[in-house]
Amino acid sequence: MSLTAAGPPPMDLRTVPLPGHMALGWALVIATLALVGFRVPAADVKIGESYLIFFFHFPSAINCLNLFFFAGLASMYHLWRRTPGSDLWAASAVEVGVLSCVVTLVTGSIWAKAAWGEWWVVSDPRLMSVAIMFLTYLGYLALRSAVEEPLKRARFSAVFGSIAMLNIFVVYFSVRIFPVENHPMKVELVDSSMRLTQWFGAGAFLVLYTAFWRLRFRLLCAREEVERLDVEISAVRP
Amino acid sequence: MRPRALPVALSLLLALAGGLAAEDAAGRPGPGAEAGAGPGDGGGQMVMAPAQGRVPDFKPYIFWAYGLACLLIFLFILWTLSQLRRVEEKLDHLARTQGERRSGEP
Repeated sequence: MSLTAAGPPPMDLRTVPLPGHMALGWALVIATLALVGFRVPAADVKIGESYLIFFFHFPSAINCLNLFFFAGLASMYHLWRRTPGSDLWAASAVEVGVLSCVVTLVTGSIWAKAAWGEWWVVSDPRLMSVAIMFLTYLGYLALRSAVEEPLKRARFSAVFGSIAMLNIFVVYFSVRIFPVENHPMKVELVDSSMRLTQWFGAGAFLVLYTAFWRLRFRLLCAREEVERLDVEISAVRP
Repeated sequence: MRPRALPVALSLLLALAGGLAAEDAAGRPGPGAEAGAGPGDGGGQMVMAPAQGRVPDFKPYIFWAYGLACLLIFLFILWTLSQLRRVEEKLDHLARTQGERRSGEP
């Protein structure tokens, strides 16, 4: 399969073999589960057993922001240089970012039910800003599927992706900006094994999600190639 | 090696490990647990107050949080791999058609 149509990516992840990358990601996530299962204390002093959800919630949340940030950078790079590869890197980062956002919302909602007794608190700025960010990036994906012409699609998506990046800062600073608070700015982890598991999990999910990102990039490249060949073949058809 | 069977097998393993780890962690007794206090304890609004002398059972929440997260990741990878397979088949077909067309040209 030829991937040359997409041009050079802004970050050359392709030098790392994909199956190995993915296997490493899975292994690290399983290792995170092992740490949760056998290493960290079973209950936190303040929030009890329910804090265990944090070790999947936090890594997904932080990597969701990372992926949307990378998507924004790739979008801006596309607006600057107009390389097709940067558009595809941005689109694939948004796709994986949406996955991690769903994981964040699902685990967060279950944790909210366990800790606060509510699935969703409408007055909470962090929750609502994440929901808005999620809907914004669904809009990005809808825009991509609505525009058929590749160059126009890439340009529109790049503008959208660059502006949508503002969401990340709103989400991050929402707890500081708005006075109402349910969601804490950060969860205080007293035990060193808790902090180790927190950051180990974040790293593990980063490795796994970047493998997914590369896989989605490969898929989008293949789709672009299919579109190009389709146009070429139908152009010479008598 | 194409990334096909490996992630599927590993994600199944992940789903199993997720369930087991969550079960095991939630089952262990914890030091000084005041279960029921919310994450917003530090100045925020707290919706749920613990019933007197009753510690809520968080096991189902932990199980569902980990289980659904693993399931979502698993479904995402299956969906991506099936899409990739279809697109690659179409790409091969189109490349073959184009090659035949070119070889047929004078």
